[in-house]
Amino acid sequence: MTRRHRALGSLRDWLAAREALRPGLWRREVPAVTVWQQYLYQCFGGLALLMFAVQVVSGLFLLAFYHPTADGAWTSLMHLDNQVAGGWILRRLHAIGGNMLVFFALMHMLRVLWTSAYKTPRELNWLSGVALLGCVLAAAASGQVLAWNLAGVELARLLTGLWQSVPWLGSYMVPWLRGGQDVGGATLGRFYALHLALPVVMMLFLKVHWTMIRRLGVARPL
Amino acid sequence: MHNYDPKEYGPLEPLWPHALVSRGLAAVAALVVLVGLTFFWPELLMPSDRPPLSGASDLTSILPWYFWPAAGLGRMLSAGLALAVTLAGGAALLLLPFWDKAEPDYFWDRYVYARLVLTWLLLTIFFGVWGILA
Repeated sequence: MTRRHRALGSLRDWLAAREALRPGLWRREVPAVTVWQQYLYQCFGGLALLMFAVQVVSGLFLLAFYHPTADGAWTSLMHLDNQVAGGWILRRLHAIGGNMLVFFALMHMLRVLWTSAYKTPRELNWLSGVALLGCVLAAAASGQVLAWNLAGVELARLLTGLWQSVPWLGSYMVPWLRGGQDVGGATLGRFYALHLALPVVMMLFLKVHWTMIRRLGVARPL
Repeated sequence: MHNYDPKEYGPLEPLWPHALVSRGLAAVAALVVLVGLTFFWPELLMPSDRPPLSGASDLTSILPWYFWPAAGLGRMLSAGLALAVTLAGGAALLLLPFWDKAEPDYFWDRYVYARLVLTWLLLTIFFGVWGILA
C-alpha cells in the first residue's frame, strides 16, 4: 500500500468516525432536540439561520433594482428608497438583517466555545461553522461596499488596500483586487460578484453543518 | 460522546412537529421584532448614506462594527501586523478542535466562572478597542 493510499485511508477512517460518510441527509437520525425555552443560549444558531433566510429573500428583491455600476449603484438605491413602494424598508431590512446575522453568528460561536461543543466528534461542525462565519463577515462587508457612496468607496479602498502590506505579493494583489490602481467600477463589479457568490458557498457549508448536527445530536449544555 | 443527556439536563422534544412548530412560532416573533426595528428605527446599524465624495470620513463611519477590533489593532500595531494577527486568529479558530483535545468535562465544563471571566475579558478587549477607535 502506498503512502497516498494510507493517507486517504486515514482520512476516510477519520470522517467515518464522525458519521460524515453515512449517506442520506433527511433521515430522522436525531429525532429529538432540546426544548427551546429550556436553554435560551441554544437559539443563536437558529436565529442566524433565520437571518440568513431573510437576507436571501430580501437580497433577491434588491437584485431586481440594483445597478452594479459606479454611476448607477447609488442612484438605483435612491430610486429604490424614494420611488419604489416599500423599497426603503426592504433595503433597511437587508442592511439590519445582515448586521443581525453577524451578531447571531458570533454569539452562536461563543456558545459553542463555552460549551466545548467543538470537540471530538464535532470537528466538522466547527470547521464548517468557522467557514460560515468567514463567509458571513465577507458577505456583510461586501454588501456595505455595494452602496458605492462615500463610505462604500472608502471601505472598498480600505479592504483592498490592506493587502498591500502582504510581503512580495501585495503590489500585485491590490491592482488585481481593484481592477486598476484605484477603486472604480471594476472594483464594484468584483465586490458584487463576491456578494452574490458567497450565499451559494454558504449553502454548501450549511448543508455540511446541518447534516452533522442531525447526525451527532445536540451538544451538552453548560 | 459529548451529547445531551435528557436524564441530566431535562427533557427533549421530537423534531417534528413539536420542535419545528415551536421554533417556527419563535422565528415569526423574531421576524416581527426585526421588521419592527426596521420600521421604527431605520437608522439602526445602517451604513452611512452620505452621497459619493461629499467630504472627509472617519474610520468608524466607514468600517462595519465587526471590523473595529481589527482596525484598532491596525492603529496600535500596523496594517500588516493587524492583517497577520487577524488571519492567524482565524487559522487558530479553525484548528481549535485539533489542539484542544482535553476531555470536555475536565476544565471548561467544570469551571463556569473561568468561562465567565474569559468572556468578560474578551468583551473588555472588544469594547476597549472600540473605545480607542471612537
